Amino acid sequence: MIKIIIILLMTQLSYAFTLNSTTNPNFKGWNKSEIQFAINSTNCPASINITNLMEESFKVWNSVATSKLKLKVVGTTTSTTLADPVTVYCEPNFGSVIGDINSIPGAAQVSPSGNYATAGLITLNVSSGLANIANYDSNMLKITLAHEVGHILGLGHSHDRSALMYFDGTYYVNMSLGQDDVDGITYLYPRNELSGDKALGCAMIKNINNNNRNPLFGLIALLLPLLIYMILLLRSRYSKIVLNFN
Amino acid sequence: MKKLSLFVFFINFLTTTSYALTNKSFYLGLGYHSENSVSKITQSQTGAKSMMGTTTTPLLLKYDLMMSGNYFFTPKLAYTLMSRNGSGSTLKATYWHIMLPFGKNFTGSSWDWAIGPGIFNRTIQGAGGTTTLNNGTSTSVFAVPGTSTSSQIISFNFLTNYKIGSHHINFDFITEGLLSSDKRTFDLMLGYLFQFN
Repeated sequence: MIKIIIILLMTQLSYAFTLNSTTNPNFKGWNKSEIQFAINSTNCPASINITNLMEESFKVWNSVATSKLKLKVVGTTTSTTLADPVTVYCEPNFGSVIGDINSIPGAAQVSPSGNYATAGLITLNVSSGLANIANYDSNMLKITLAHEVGHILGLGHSHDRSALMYFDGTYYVNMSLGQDDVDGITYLYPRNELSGDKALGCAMIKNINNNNRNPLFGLIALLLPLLIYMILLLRSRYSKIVLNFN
Repeated sequence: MKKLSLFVFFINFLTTTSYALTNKSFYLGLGYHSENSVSKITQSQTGAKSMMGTTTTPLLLKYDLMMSGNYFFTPKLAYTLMSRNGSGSTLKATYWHIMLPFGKNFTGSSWDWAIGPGIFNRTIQGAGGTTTLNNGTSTSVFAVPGTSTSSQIISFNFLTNYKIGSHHINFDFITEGLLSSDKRTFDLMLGYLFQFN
């Protein structure tokens, strides 16, 4: 009985999102809010549009209201190494480069400098093994890519079975984030609308310009209802005075 | 006959003329807050999105100030006394949410409504250290977050409240990232408040 209680306590203590670092608890992902990816589709199956799948996989990470993160594909590359924009490529020799060709469809690596990532690489399995990405349907590939993107962003695996960053996606059939993923991405890329990030999520998708952020926008958005109310109030009072004169 | 009596009682209950918003009234109570609701996140191993999100029970404070006629400024604070532990105890997630709505009593009833902006501050604090987790084919060591970060979001809130004597039941519909089709997120909060004066 005591053993069971101890095991339960130990299991409980380790539950939370983790970081994509083996030693550094101060790792903070990338030191920017817009993270770019470049696709090398040289060895990728012709039937799979990696760019479209990557953009689909970004949607869950771009949807977190408490995070300032924005992910985008910026074009193509010939690179097969760690880079910024992050390289995404298909590797025929997946076994010798990464490992098990029968159970791992893709792998992500980041290169840290201090507390921040400076380069990233997503390697996709196009070997002769069972986990060749051509053997997966587009939904499973989207989920796999979204998981690998999570690693690129700086997240490690999660104990939480409902998290996208849980190590085993066998039962995962809908691409979505768990609260643990949301907490993780908020921790690494917190959104702050009172000091620069645009208020009410405004213009996040098409126009991020970190050099042109204005904290006054948030304050104005906050005070706008008060301003409208005061105008209506004054108009109401003014009309009453006019009526009294009559 | 019994059904009719119940119906009459219900109608009478809804149309009591004790106004919910009262000038210079102070309220204290508890809320049941569901963050990331309405199919935003999953709580299942299949990734299926759920109607209800992650729940917390914040302390609620509210004050009513009459501005003109039947219109009120009704600031409200929700504050997590106990942190929500993100799937366990190596993470503490807390928040405070100040709502600054303007509202009005529904004529001839104990209901009121209010709408307005707010500031939603969330803090996530990690315990630090490392943990060993399954990595698919073997295990790997992962660092546990060791610092604290905060996010501040401007929310836009739709609130309604029903008064029964000094007791108030309120329902808040909280939006975050309202102008972004991707980031738009809804929270639901059911609360109980006691009116002190």
